[in-house]
Amino acid sequence: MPMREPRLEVRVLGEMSVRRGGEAVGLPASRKTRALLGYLAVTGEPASRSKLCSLFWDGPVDPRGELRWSLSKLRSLLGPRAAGALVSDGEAVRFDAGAVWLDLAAVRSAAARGIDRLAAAELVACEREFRGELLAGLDLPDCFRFDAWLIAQRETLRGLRVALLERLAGLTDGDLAEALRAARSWVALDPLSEAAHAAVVARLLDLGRPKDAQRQAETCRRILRQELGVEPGVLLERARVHRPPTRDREHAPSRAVTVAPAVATVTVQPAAARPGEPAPWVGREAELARASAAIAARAGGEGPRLLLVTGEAGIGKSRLLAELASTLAPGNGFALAGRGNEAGLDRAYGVWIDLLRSAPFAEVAGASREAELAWLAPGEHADREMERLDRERVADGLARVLSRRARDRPPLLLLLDDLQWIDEASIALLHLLLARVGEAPLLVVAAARSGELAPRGAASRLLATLERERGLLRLPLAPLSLEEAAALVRAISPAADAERVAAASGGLPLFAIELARSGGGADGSLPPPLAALVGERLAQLEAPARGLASWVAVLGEPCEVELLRRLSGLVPSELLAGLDELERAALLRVDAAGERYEVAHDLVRRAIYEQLPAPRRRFLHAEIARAKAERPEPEGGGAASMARHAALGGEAELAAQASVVAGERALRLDAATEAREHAERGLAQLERLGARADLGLRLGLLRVLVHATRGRPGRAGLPEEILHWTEVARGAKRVEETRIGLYLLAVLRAEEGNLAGAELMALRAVEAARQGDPAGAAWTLGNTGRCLAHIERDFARAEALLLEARELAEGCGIDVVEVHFGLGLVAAADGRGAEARAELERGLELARAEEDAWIASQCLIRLAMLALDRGDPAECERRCGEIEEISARLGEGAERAVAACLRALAGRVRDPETGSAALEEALALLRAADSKGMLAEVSSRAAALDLAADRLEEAGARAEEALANASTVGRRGQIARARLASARVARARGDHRAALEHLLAASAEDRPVGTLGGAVRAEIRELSKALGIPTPRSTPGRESVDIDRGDSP
Amino acid sequence: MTLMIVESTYDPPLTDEARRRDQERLDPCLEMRGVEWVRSFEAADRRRKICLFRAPDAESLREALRGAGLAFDRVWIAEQREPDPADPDRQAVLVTR
Repeated sequence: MPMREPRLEVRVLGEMSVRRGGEAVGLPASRKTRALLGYLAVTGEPASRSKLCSLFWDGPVDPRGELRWSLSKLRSLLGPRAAGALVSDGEAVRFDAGAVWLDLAAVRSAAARGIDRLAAAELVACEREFRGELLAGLDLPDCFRFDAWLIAQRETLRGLRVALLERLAGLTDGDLAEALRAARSWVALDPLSEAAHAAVVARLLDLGRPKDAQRQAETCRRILRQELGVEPGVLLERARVHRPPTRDREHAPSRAVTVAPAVATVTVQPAAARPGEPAPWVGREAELARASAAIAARAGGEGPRLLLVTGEAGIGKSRLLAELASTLAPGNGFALAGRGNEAGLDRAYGVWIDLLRSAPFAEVAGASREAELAWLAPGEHADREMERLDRERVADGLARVLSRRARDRPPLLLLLDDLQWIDEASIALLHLLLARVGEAPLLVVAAARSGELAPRGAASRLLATLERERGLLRLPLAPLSLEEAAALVRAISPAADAERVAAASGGLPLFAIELARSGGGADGSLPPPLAALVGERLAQLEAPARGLASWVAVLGEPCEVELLRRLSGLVPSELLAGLDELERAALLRVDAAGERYEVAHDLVRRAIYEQLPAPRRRFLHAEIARAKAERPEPEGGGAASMARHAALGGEAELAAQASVVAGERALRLDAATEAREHAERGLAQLERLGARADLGLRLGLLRVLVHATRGRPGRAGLPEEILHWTEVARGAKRVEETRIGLYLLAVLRAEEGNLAGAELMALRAVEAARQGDPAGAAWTLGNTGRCLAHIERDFARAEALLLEARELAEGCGIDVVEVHFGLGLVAAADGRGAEARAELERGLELARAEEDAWIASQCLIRLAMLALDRGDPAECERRCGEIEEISARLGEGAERAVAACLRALAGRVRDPETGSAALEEALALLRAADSKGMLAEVSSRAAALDLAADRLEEAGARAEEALANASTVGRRGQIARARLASARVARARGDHRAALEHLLAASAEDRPVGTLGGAVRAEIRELSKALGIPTPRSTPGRESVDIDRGDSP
Repeated sequence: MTLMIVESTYDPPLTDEARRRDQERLDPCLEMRGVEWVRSFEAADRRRKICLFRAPDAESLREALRGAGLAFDRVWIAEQREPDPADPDRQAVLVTR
């Protein structure tokens, strides 16, 4: 009785997946084949073969053949029983809906019942089926008919999903959190829908979160203005007026507030109400006490090593950091400060350079005398120097200098503001530094915006490590109490209605300060947005100052006066006057290093930025990108910033170019996550360019992406994407781009079957030997090099070790037999026959003198093979006689059997018509001796002779045996040769596809490049040419050829 | 990977020092060829030794031994058999006792 086949489960909403009995079914690598399956599943109707051909293969010579191949591929994947789901009756093909469960069918049937009639749980279940867009990643830009169909389907489904979300977001009688989630998903799906934003605002108000609601309303206003140039209409306003009457603060204060007398509970430190100076310090006694305790503990070498201050923007984190620095008594402890910058993520180590060069740099004077810290000396290009140095050594130097200074005058505070924007390289250095300073009285105080640290980013990983080691103290900041906020307002503007302004500020100090500075005229239920306050201040400035404010806000990073001069075109007197005016208005300040200008606070910067009309912002971004492109920084510095400005300025090509540079730079700095982001952003820019996108740029970005994702999950469909663009490059005869694409494909392939570093122990032995006496080192290096060459694991490294061994041996006047044997193997593998012979002859001579029968037999075996290669069977047979003679002294082993095999091969070279009896007999001996490496060698050679004599059947079987044996012993050279033999057989049979498959597999063995010998690489090149694949240019250090599995010759 | 036995004889008998030196030379050769040492049995008089390895093929093991300069008498492929009261074919040891 046939077994009942588990139902197939097919998901098409999002990335396509197929499961059978709960087990995932692997889908074909070909995007077209997957798209074909997706199309049949989604339509659920019979499609004629001619229609399918026109959808997917409008062009190839044999579209029906391609379709047949794809269908057979699908059937084999689905398995013998489930293949029944794919029904082809004559001319038509269809997917049997009864045999599968389809996510889309569930959604369709729910929709058919009417969304308004569905219960909440059904709506939620239905909506959850949408894991992404229909057949995500299966766009086929070259198959325009299919693409048009897909776009139309996606549009329909998007409408359906919006309807579902709208219904869910409006369900206020049930789970409000679920309704809010739905409303947010709706905004994400349709960010320009005012109704969606209004739903979020309304649900937030329902949930008693007025401040979040207000923020959402601001976001909506900004997006509509920016993208559509319109103001929000009645929908948003209606949602806003539904604001519940409560004035409760969104977050309960973290500590009890004494109600009366209010003022008595609040301490106000010296009022500094003048703009441009730090705001007065108000309240926060508990936080300050906890921080001071941590500092005191650290001064004694105890307690947490990192204090993390968190809170929303404008809550007063930076102010707390400044306050902590000021609490250090003169002559007792000191602080160094640096901060991250949203637009400055590409300044590797930027925060460290700023920090070490900040005002108390004198404290570290003398540090630059340390070799690893020489770059600190004034006048040095610190960032460039720092990038060249080994990070571990920089950390050693820093740890030494900082620990010393910290012990001299404890404690030392390292203040790192805006941790969420600090680059990966800087965080890595901080990690290393903390591991090195031990019990030194040094405390890192970092500030980060709540919820803005990337969950798996470098900073989060560091914090998690410290938390495990109990080295982290978290200090969250809550809004100020009403009394504290009022005290702050009074300190700035004694005339203001302090209580009302404080209430309007919601306890957010920055907001309270801005309101107070603007006169504190809040009257409505909603305080005026910060943007309005900043706008009023801007309006009072002269035109040059306003212009400068725009440039600085759009730049978004600390900038030098020279750049501002070039951008603004102002004459120096106007420029300086404008800067003065902005400083006086507390909109601009000089950064910690005292070298550049920056906007006083990021929220203020955003407010200025948002005042600018969208077209003007775009223009400014583009100008900045062009200015940066005119004077590129060395080694790719500033490229990330350039890319960002170019993207925002609509200069897609420039943005993509800069992304390549920024990505490559990030790779050099081991900042893989950043490199990946640059690549992804660059690729997104190319999408905007469509057909005009440059192929070289695209492959450059893909190269960054491949290297950035090595050893970790890459982006879905990356190999297919690369394959596609490689084919496009090949079609356009762009040789260099084709080569890059093929190289990337081979890298990805090699990644899949990554061989473990099996030579670790040997290389450690080599390292140890290098420390010892030269003669011993020569022997160890020679032995290891010979071994690597013998097992064909890595010819490039083998040769390097052997040459080093030879130099050492010559230095002490000795001759090492293994060096000659090893170099003979390398030369033979490279196709340098004469040189190989000379080395092997010398090795044989030495081995005989030393009575090393094994090395002698091995040299003889290689000499016999070289004779075969030269077409000299007599010489081969003579060598075989010598092998047989010497093997008698060896005891058991494979040597005699190898000699018999080589003799049989020589017989065939002499007379190609010779039968295979002698060879079979010899091979049987070799199998009995269990030498799989030699079996692979002999089988590959026999396959070549069979092929030359047109015995395809035998040749194919021998190539397969060679591959199986070579794979068992992991000999990559022999694996490649066996693959080449199979490729040639496939070619002779007219199976072009199989030939390409084998050729690609052969070339994948050459990873890293140089693993294979030059002879095999030349064979790969030759065969690629014969198969009509463009042979990439040979460049120094990269001679190898990389082949992909192209579908067409 | 196949179970392999190496038989060796020593005259003069094996010393601790010689064993340590052999081990140091052999380990990298084994590792590069993907051979794993399982265990060894030394005769009480230290004149005979049997070593068990797992190797892709016998020649890889021979190459490793010879490459490290170690002499041996025989290398052979082995099948592991254990006494099993439930399997009549594996009761020999129990029966003879």
